[in-house]
Amino acid sequence: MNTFAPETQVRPTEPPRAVRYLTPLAAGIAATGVIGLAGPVGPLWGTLVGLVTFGALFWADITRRILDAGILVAAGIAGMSYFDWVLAGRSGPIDFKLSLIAAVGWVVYGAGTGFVIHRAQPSYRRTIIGAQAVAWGGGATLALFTATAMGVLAPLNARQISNGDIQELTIGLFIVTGLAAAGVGLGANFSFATRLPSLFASGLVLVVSVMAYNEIKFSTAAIATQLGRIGEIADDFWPPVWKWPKSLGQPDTFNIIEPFIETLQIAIIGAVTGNLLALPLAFYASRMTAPSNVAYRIAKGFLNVVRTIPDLVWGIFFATAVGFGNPFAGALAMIMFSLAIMAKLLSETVDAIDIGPLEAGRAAGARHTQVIQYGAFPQVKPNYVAYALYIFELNIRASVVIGFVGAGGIGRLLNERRNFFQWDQVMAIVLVIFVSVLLIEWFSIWARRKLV
Amino acid sequence: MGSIEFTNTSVTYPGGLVALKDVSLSIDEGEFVVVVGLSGAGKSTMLRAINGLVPVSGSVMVDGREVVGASQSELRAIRSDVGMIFQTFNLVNRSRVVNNALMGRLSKIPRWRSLLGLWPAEDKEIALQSLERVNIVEKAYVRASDLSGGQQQRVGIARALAQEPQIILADEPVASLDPVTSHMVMRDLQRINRDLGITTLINLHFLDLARQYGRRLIGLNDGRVVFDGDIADVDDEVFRGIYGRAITPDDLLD
Repeated sequence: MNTFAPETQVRPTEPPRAVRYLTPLAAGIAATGVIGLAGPVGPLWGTLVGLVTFGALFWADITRRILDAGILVAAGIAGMSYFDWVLAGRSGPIDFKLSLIAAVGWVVYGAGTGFVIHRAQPSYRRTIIGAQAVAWGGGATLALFTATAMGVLAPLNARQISNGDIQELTIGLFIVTGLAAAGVGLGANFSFATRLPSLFASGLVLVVSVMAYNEIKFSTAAIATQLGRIGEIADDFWPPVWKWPKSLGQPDTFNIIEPFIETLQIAIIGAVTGNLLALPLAFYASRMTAPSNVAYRIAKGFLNVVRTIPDLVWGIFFATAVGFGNPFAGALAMIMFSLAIMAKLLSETVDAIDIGPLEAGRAAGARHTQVIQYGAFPQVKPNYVAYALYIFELNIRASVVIGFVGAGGIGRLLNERRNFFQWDQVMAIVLVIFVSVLLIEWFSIWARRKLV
Repeated sequence: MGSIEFTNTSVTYPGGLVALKDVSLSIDEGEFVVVVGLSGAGKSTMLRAINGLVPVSGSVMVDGREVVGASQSELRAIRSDVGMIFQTFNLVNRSRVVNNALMGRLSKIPRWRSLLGLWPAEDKEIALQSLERVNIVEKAYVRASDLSGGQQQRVGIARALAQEPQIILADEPVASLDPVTSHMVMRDLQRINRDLGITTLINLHFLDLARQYGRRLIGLNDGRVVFDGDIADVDDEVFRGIYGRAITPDDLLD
């Protein structure tokens, strides 16, 4: 018999959403953005870090308690002040030992985050406290040490470390350790032991990609003999030259990593912004979800125009508009490139959704945007994630190419060295591009399999 | 609260098809009305005229509010008081059961909250209570696609209940279900009507279900009302008048 008797029914507890495991990463990246804008160090910094982390946890529905905000701010202040205190004014190499000592500040912050997550939601295992601490501390140590080893921090070794340096260090460390912490958050909630390999994998992806660059030096001889057989041209290309003067007669040397990171940034900005902008557009460009026929025509027409213009032409256009060699031009070109592909793919996916839920939403008095967000978007979400990762892959390659037409990044450097017939320098650049594209593609395929 | 008044109501679809022809009748608060008729007789159209999902002319008053010529925001206000249940359930299959129920609360919360997905605790509570009312709360955090047909329809009912509606419109709610679950869903609807006093209109295909659960029966034929009266007065002759032929076993569920 089907009678109404609430007292006999047991309400299950709400399981945490998958997105919540990524909250430490979201907090880290958000904190990076805030710090990048404000630029304070020490206690003020720690306060910001704590508050931003609390904001992310609040948004993810993990905690809404003010006391937790206090705990996070305290952990942030303690951790960041310590980090500041260890490094400020110090001169000399940042070796493994110093990296380890400085990273204790990050352990404190990580433990605080883990403690709050566990306190607010006991369904998160207690191991998350240690796991977060290890991830933030370990990530910071590894990132500091490898960055020093590969020469990115080399200038710091020769002079006193200033507040500005610590700020830059922290920005980098948030990204690296945030990835590791998110991985650990993911793992700790299921089974810490069985997930251990995948935690390390996610944390080490960045470190490995950095080391691969150094590894290449050791295989020079083997590849050189192969190339020697091909012909004389190979002699021009080999061995690659990793460093050259920035301009004639100056002691300053050029670092490939800087323009390469610029290329990565162009690709990331392009993919993230383009994919976000494409989201509403895709729903306008599908008959299923367009608010009106006029809106549909306008969206469709706009996308047709954007899509028919090749990425190289966008690059030339924006380079002319905002300045030759300006990475901002590249980012704008990549935004248009990503937007066009995503809106096309997604709107065609939306064409095939079940309209039943949309009718149900309308019948319940929901607004058009709510109907789309709650009735249509969940139906295409897995496709959206898969397309986004695919477009990020495309962006890496495309953003190298558009550098040739003056849109910034490593492509600009490649073109410049080519014009000077510096084939050995070109070779170094090509190697860096090759390895990183491969790694990113591998990561993307792995992530798509995990997420979809 | 919960009254409906049709006055010379017609529905003409963009293609020129007139699906509802000059209907005038009124339904009082708390009534349990069954609408029967052949497919194409205008049953679904009549229900959708009440919440303005079809192009309607004449006059339809819902709780004293006019549907014909209402602005978008007026229509939304009317719809938010009218829950609807569908033959094919119309759930978001990839979303959780509780999120489907929460769709009934969308019209009640501010836009920024729905955009960020920050549901107020009381709305979540209403959604969970709606699920409790149809005995499906233990599946609250399961994906809708993982439920059986009968369970999915109960989620559909919970979504309508989450609106805290004055009126419930059920468009062939059991046509996709087996006989046993059909009876369970019909009893759910009957109980909700009795316990909460929500005016309920149900389109039904099966005559025996109509007889068993209905109190007032409206018969439609080719867009016109051919019968409107107490279910007790309905005999085989009346059914023949609605269907234009004698009852066959296909018209019965059990």
